[in-house]
Order: sequence, then C-alpha cells, then structure tokens
Amino acid sequence: MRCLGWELKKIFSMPMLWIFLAGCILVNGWMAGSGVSQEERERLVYRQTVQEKNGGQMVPDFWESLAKEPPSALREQLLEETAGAENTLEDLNTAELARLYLGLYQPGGGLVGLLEKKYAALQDAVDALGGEGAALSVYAARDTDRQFQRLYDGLHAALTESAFLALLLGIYTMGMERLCRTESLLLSAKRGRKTALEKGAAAWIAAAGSYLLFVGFFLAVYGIFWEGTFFWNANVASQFHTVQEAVFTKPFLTWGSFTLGEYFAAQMGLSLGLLLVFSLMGSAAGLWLKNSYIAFLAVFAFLFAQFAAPMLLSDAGCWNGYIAATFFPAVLWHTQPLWFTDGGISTVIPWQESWGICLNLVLWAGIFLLAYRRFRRKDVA
Amino acid sequence: MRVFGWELKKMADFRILGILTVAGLLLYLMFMEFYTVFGGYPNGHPLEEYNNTAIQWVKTYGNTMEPGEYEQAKVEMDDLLMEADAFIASHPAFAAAGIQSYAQFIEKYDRWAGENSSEEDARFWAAESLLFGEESGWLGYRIQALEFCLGAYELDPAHPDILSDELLEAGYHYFAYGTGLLILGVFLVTAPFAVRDSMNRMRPIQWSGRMGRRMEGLRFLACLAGAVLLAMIGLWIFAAIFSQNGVRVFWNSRLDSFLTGLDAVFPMTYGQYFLSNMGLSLLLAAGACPLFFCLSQASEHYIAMLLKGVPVLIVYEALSAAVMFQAFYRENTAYRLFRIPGAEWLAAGLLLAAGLAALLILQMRMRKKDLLD
Repeated sequence: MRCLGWELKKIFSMPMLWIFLAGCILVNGWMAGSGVSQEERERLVYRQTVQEKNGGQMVPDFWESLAKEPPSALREQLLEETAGAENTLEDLNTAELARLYLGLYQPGGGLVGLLEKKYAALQDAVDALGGEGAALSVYAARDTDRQFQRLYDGLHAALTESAFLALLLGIYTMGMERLCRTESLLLSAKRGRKTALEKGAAAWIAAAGSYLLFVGFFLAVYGIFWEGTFFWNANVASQFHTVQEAVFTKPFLTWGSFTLGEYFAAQMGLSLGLLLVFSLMGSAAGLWLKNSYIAFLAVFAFLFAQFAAPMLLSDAGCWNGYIAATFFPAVLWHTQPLWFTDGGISTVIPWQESWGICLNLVLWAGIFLLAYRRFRRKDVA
Repeated sequence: MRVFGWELKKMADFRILGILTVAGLLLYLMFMEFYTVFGGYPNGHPLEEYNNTAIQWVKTYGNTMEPGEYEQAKVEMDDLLMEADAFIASHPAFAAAGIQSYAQFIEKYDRWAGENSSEEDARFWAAESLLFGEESGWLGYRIQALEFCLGAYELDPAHPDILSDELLEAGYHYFAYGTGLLILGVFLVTAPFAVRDSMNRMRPIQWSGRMGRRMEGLRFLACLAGAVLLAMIGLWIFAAIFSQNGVRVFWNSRLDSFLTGLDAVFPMTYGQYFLSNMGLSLLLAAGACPLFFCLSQASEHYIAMLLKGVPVLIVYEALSAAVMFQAFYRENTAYRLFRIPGAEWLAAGLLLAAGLAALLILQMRMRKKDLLD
C-alpha cells in the first residue's frame, strides 16, 4: 500500500498533469454551460417540478393533477406534448427493427443470424419495458433528446479525456524510473520489479479519479446552469427519447429498465472498467517498449486501427471480421451513446458493451501479465 | 551545415515514420478516399451525372458557355428525351404502368411522388426504378442533371464558366481532411525532436559546443525543413490522387461559375484555386512546426510533452479545418471573421506567427538560462 501511495505521489507531482486536469475541467465546464436557453431552462424546471408533485408517468392521474396546476403557457405546452400518449412499447415488434437494419446495411456472413437473434432477444426486454409502462415516462417531454444529449456529451468527454490519461499514465509509470535514472536502484531493492504492479494500479487509480472528478465537475456546472434539471427518476426508455439512425428514428430501447440516474451510474461503472482496459494497454506497452514515445505511438496506431476496422471491414464485405471488430476497446468507446441499448448494427449480442469490456479486461490483464513476466526476467544490464 | 544534417537525420526515425504511414493510410481510407473513389461525387447519383455533364460541356464547348453554345446544349436534351422515349417503348414494365413516353412519366411522377400503396403505384415505381437504374444507363438521372445545368445557366448567364460543383465540394472536404492529416504528421515527427535531447541530458553538451546556444535556432531550422519536406511529400501524394478526378478538365474555368453555389472571393481559375489550396495547406502544416517544437523544447519528458501537445494539436486542427474549409469563398470561417480578401492566408499567417513568437520567447529565455539551475 505504501508503494502505491508513493507511485500516486509521483504521478501527481508532474506539473503538466495538473494543467491538463485544469484544462479538461474548463472544457467540460464550458460544455455544460454553453447553449443555455432561458426559455428551455424554464420549461425544464417546470417539467421537473410538475413531475416531483404529480409523478412522472403519463397516466390519467398525471393529466388530472396537471390540469389542476395554475394555468400557464408552460402547462399548456406540457399538456399538448403529452396529450394522448400511449404505451408505445406495448406492441413494438423488434423483428421489424431487425428487418430495417438488414435492409439498410445488407450485411452478410454470421452477422445476419446474430442480428436476428439479438432482436428476437430484445423482444422480451421490450415486452418487459412495455409491461412496466417505461414509454409513458414524461422525462423532459419533447426536450428529452436535447437534455439527454447534453448530459451524455459531458460523460463522453470525461471518458475520452480520462482514457487518454489512462493510456499516458500507464506508459509514464512504467518508464518513469528509466527517465529519472533510478531504474537500476529500484530493481535492486527488495520489492524490486514487483513495483510494476503498483505502478499499473496507480495509473488506473489516477485515471479513474480524474474521470470521477471530470464527471462530478460537469454535473455541478450543469446543475448550476440548468437549475438542477437532471430528471434522475425518469425512465430512459421514455417515448420522447429517440435514436436517430441513417434513415429512420427509433425508440431508445434498453436491455433492462433504467431510470436516468441508474443509467448514468451504470455508464460510469462501465466507463471505469473501460478505463482499466486502456490503463492495462498503456502499462503493457510501457513495460514492453523502452521508449515512451514509441509506446504511445504504437498504442495510438493500434487504437486507431481498431476504430477504423468496422468501417473498412464492412466496406470490404468481411462481416465476420466486422463482428469481431465490434468488441474492440476503441469501438466500445465510440459506441458509448448506445451502451445498454439494442445498439443497432454496432452491437451483435445483448449487453455487448458489458461483455465486451469484461472480455477486454481478461485479455488485457493477460497481456499485461505477459509483459510483466517478461519484465521480471529481463536482464538489467 | 554538418550539424544541420545531423539534426535533420534525427527526424528520420523509421519507427515513427512507419507508424505515421499506417495511421495516415487508415485516416485516408476513413475520411478522404470517399471524395476520390467515386470520382468526387460524394453522394452518388445524380451528383455523378451533374459532374459528368460539366466535364462533357468543357470538352465540347470549352471553359465557358456562350449563348450560341447554350442553344446547342439544349439540343442534347432533345436527344436524351428521344433516348428515354425509346427506352420506355422497349420495356413492357412501362406499358404495364400506363406510361408511353417520358412526358407521361413525368406527369405521373409529379402526381404520385410520395405515395406507394396501391398495386398501380407499385407498377409505377417498378418502372421508375428501371428508368433511374443501371439498365437504362442511369438515363433518368442524366436527364435530371442536364435539366439542372441548363436551368442554372438560364438563371445566371453572366457567369458563363463551366465548373463542376461536385468536384469543388469534394475538393474542399478533401483538402481540409488532408491538411488535418499533414498537421498530425508534422506533430508526430516534430514533437519528440527537442524533448529527446533534453531527456538524454544532451543540452549541456550541445550548448558547450562552438556554436553554443545558437544551436537551438539551427535545430529548429532543421526541424522546420523536415516538417516542410514531410508536408510537401504528403501534399504531393494527395494532390496526385485527387487530380485524377477531372481537375485538369476544369483547370482554366473560373470559380464564379453558373454551376456552383458558392460565392468566390477572387476571380481565379480552378487551377489557381487548386494550387492556392495546396499552398495554404502547406503553410498550415509547416506553420504547426514552431508551435510543436516550442512545446517539445519546454517539456522534460515525452509524457509531459504529449499532455501539452495533444490538446494543442486538437485546437490547431480545429482552427486549420476552419481555415481550409471552403477556402477562398465568402462562406469560409476566416473570411467571415476578418471580412477581407485573403483572410485564409492571414489566419494561417497568424497561426504561424503565434508559434514563432512562442518559440522566440522560449529561445530567448533559454539563452539566459543558467546551466547550473
């Protein structure tokens, strides 16, 4: 534990890290506070207040209570937007969605069967959501997509910044001793090469801490600018929440029932897992390659190739390769807005992001241990 | 000169150049190839036909269309309509849909657009897909394109130059992405340049040489030469690929053509515009060098340099994209900001000047720095 503390101290004694953190916090704060419209904010505040008093489900009681609210343009607008709302998920046929995707992208190989299976499995999830009345959640009514997008942008920015940090700190911690000319000294100590484990852990802890800091700061600024209109108790599968595909719009279909608060908590939990994958990747590269810059470039090119893979493989008609590519860490990062949802053609199995990150954790832990094993046997001379 | 050569040689790290080539190729395939493989018609039909019509007109009438030539071009429409009538007559699908001629097809098309429910509608749309399909040689789209081009001339005969709007649009996207890629290349090659010597504790040795601290200026010049060389090679490759798309056909056509929707700032030809884009791209890519060199020089190790450099790279890329996108047109962001002709050059010059100023300040501080500190 003492070693871990020292490693963390070494990381945070790098002045540039503090400047980077401050820069990221500023950018995230700017994102949270930009584009504030007084009109929309008033609407959101009204909608949240009404739901706190009258419940957030579009059922007869809701409209009755809403009708008793003091008359105002905001009330009329909400009544108009929610009028005649039906449980749209009750009779939704997911096979139709599969047909739309297959028609639009015309995939081949094993992808056709996997997509059909995935959408067949989604039917059960949609039926459960329909039975629960998730689609009847008022959320922010017609402002839902915009409100969710703003919050999501903050989450994605925080994940991107801390993933970059996780990679760099992984490389940095492993090469730090060489840089400070203390490598031989450290390796000859009792704890010796085992410190690589603490170094790896310190890199992840620092990146995860930064992530929590970024998200916390973003939400705080968002709360100030948007007067706390988070709608944490709204169901994310509300009928007002949609996903725009190339030529059609579909509902936000999750594999389980999530309130916005639960959805955010799940996103953050999984993001910490993905950060660990990036941290292990950086640490493995740092252990394997002597030159930190080359290690960074190698990881950068590797991640970039992963990012490009689905597009290039689908263009080449290599659909089985495409299936494998959807599990790559860079692709999982890119598809973050679709986590815990059906994911369209970007995912091939239910809960793919969770399985994908678990799989990558096992794989990259293995690669890190291999690099560590090699490092332990390496001759200092 | 010998020192300059040694410094230049340091940039030729084959591992870095190899990774840069791989990343560049992937970036090219992802973002740039789109604007070249389909001949510069990003959205397929009917844009491909618009482009082909413009190419055909330049080959037939030269770079401008005069009123007499316009009358001649209108005859092409009669030929196409005759071809369409013959195609319709030869296919039973049209008879089944109750269509005997192209004029009848258009009449039904206007009436039925947007509907697709009854059996009659289905027959009509089956016929429509034939006329707008490969079997007819995309005849429907060719007619649409010719109609559009003739209509554009009627609306704006004062600007008779023939220039493909599709080529123009594909071009400014292509060069904006290309510049981004070149800047990335300059960053990857420049960023480790100065910090490497600092990490290897080379500075005291270098500064104690006969050239002393003037060595830093020479190192920057070597770095700049390397960056310019790299950018020029990249630019030459990009330009060579893109010029397969009919660039030479429109070389002497002026930008303010009746076929283009944008408003050009200078009355230059497409050839001059193409070269100007290349020059601007080179200036922006090479202009990034002082900035990255400065950040590298001010860092103690690679990771600190990357923590500084990557955010700066992202900002620089965003600014460059704003400068390059729709460059030399009034719609360009730099032009809208400065409101003067050549605003793109000014913006690129300012970016270069900012980098040089930062570098100059840093180098002056380095000259005064005590090695014992």
